[in-house]
Amino acid sequence: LYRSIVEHKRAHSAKWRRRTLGVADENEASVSLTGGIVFANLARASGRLFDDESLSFYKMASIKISALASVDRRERHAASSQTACAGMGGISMLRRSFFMGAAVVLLLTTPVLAAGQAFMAELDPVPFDASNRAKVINAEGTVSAVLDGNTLRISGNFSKLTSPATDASLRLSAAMGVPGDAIGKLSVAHDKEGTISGSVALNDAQVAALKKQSLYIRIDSEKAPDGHLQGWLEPKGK
Amino acid sequence: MIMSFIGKSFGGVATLLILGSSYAFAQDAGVYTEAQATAGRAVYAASCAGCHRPNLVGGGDAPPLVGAGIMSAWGDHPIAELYAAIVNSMPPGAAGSLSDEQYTNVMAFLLQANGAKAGTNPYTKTATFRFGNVATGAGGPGGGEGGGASAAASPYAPKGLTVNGSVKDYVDVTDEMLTHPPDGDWLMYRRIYQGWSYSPLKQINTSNIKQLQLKWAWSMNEGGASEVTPIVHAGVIFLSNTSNTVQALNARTGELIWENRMGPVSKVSYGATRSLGLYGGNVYVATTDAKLHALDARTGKVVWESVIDVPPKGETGGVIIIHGKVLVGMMGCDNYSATNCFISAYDAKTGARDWIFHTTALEGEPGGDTWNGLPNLNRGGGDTWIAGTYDPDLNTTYWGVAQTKPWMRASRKSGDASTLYSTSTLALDPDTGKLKWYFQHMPGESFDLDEAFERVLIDHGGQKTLMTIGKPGILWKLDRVTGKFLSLKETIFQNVFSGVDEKTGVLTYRQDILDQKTGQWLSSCPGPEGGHNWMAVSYNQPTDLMIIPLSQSCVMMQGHDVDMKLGGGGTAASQKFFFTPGTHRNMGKLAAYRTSDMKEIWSWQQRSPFLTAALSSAGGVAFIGDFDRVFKAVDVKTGKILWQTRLGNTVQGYPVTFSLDGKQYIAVASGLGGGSPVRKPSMMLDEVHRPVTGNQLYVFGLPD
Repeated sequence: LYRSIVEHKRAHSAKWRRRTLGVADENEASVSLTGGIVFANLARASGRLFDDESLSFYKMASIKISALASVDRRERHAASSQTACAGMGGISMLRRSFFMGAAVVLLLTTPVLAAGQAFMAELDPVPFDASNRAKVINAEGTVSAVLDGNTLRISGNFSKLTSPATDASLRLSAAMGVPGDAIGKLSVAHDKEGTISGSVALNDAQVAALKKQSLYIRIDSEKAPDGHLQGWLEPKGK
Repeated sequence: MIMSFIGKSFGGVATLLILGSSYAFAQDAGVYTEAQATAGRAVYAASCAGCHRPNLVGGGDAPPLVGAGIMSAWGDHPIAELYAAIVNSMPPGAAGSLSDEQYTNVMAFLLQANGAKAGTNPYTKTATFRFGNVATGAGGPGGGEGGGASAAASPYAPKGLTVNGSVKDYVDVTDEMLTHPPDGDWLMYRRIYQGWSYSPLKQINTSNIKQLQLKWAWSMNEGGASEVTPIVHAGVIFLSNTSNTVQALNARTGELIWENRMGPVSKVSYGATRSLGLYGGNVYVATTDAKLHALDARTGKVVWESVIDVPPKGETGGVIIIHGKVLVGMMGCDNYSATNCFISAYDAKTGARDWIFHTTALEGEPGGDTWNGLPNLNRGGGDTWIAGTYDPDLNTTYWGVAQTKPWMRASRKSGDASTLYSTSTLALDPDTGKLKWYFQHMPGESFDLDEAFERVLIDHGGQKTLMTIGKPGILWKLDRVTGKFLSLKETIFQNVFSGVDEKTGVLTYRQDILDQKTGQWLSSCPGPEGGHNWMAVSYNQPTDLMIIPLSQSCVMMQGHDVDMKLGGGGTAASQKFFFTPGTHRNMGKLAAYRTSDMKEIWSWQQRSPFLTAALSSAGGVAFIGDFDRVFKAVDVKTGKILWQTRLGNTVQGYPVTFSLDGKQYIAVASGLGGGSPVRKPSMMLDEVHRPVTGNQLYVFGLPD
């Protein structure tokens, strides 16, 4: 299913994007399902839905659909389920339902997320030396987060791990670049590439730490149980 | 209950007996053979001793492989992890290039050097025992001072004046020429006493830079490290090669005129001779074996030779010649030495030592009470990596001093002491060596974050300032008359200081740094690569812009306990590397700051860090070279890349410009070796592949 969407996307990308979501700009969105329950999060553009042009949404699943989607600033309100599905004539009902579900959740979550403060992090290899370099050097990923009140909603993706991911966590550090302890567990695809997501309720001190760029994401893997990727959250657009 | 206790005790005793017997078995049987260790000694001498030192005590980025250093780093680890670490990273730049047999033999040598017993069972790469179960760290036949691999024979290499020739029409260099150099010459390290690396030549400019083309090239010595500054005078390029070889080349044609191979043959992958000095009819070269030589500039013959100190100390940072005195610094002050580290001056005519200034303040001297009561023997570090600059009007020479050794304060047991004159700017009287003032940038530094590099002298109206930037990436402005702090600017991300007071210049360390213990991993952004390293800035005087090569990388650093004895100490730290957060893994950053108000005017980043100093000219062009072999010309005012070409290897050293017969040229070298600025990208940039040779000089010019 994933491949078929990607192939379709490649073949008809510009036209498809315009017809499907009524947009012109590109931004990556990945969609996935778990147990038929649709779960969506804004990704890179989380929290800046109304002040930027990019939009992405994620759902947790063992089936993943990646598609190029973007929402133009002028048209993002039109990215409703109706709009999204209107251009899906060439896609199966199953695929259509995925997008409908995602769009519905998007509509439900958009007003809340839009009010939050957005952060992002690039995921880099954890500190390495010669003994673990080969395990981690090429891994990569990105994470977006939205602070809504004291709740931090996190979503992201990772790839090029040398072994399946096992855990993901939000962690508190003394300063950017300084390792620290976990303060929240995140969901992570148990694969060499995939998505992470979750929400963590922060206390006031942790919110302050977030704004001082002292919160970070860590993904562990089978071969790197003490960390494979890490990335500090920074205000989006910094 | 009693039975239970007895049972537990019995069980515990039994376990101990079993463990003890297996340990005893391992001890009795040995875990390697003598033959392996003997063969490993030879491999070590050829491939490892250059960095880790013949007696295995380590130096620079190379951690100790004997004693407390290796035991604290690897004692609790399965030996397979140490084996994997070595195979995956060594030798530098050619990881995995030795055979399995050579690697296992080196492991056997390391076991022997650390007191493990030999036996009949050979060491194999699949061995899983813990290093600390069989080794004590106490020097066996291979370890300890003088017992290492130093006896290995150097490869054959000719020595002495190997090419005879004569420079015609050579003009002696005078004090006046050093103060006001001819436009077309490059007489010293940073061209002028003030350290600008700026040339008034403007034939090559922003409008014609795209026409720049190669005129000639020259292959230099291989082996060792190369970070050369071509020195140009009277139509001749004087070139310092590895193995302390000096050459005179015809600058027009690239023809070799004379060559003097002073030796010893370089085995160290860091410690390049960065520059030479010219004065009168002589060429002055401070060598990696801690000697100062005067060569006849016309013929290359030795005029005199003077001993500065003894190896492992040496000198690579070049010289500055003031009033007929040759001033020279010192490197290799990692290990505890009876003579400590110092700057010294020698008579340019005779080589007689004139004065000496200790860069680690000694007991009973001013500043000597800043070492937490450590005896002079344990006052390591204080290297001077780059020759100083000079203000003729103030008759003052300015030098930067490196960090204390060992790197981490927990290792060196210096507590919260500031350890003068580490990470300081020194203002010295060049005639007497007397200290006029000092400014310590980072008291009690802990992460190899030197403030040891170029001191650039710039006048702002009537204000005489000194500007410098070191590994933390903080650009400092001082009053060079008094040493008073004026201002600072952070140029890259750092996390070492929780407070940076731009009004007072006071830096506050992160709390976990103050609370550090040996064996603890601590984060340092930037790490030993810097920030800013030996790749010096260029001050473009017409635009008041300082063009700064910057690097972005972080480390986790773990300090080790050290032997507090003669020859002990060392840098004594392990490192793990990681990309600076938020940089998209861009390790290189080039930036221009207006020095009058410290404002960043432009900057850009790229994946590879820069491995040359910056050069700029009145033509409005600045030059810079990088780790991935690209040599670039940029617009001084905007930073826009105007021209680039790719050389044979990492563009490394100090590019210069000169003119001959009315034509302007650019000379730049590619090179290998080097410390942290090379080691970090070697580990972190997986896609960059460099040849194993490639020390070369390139001369570019406009079409004829």
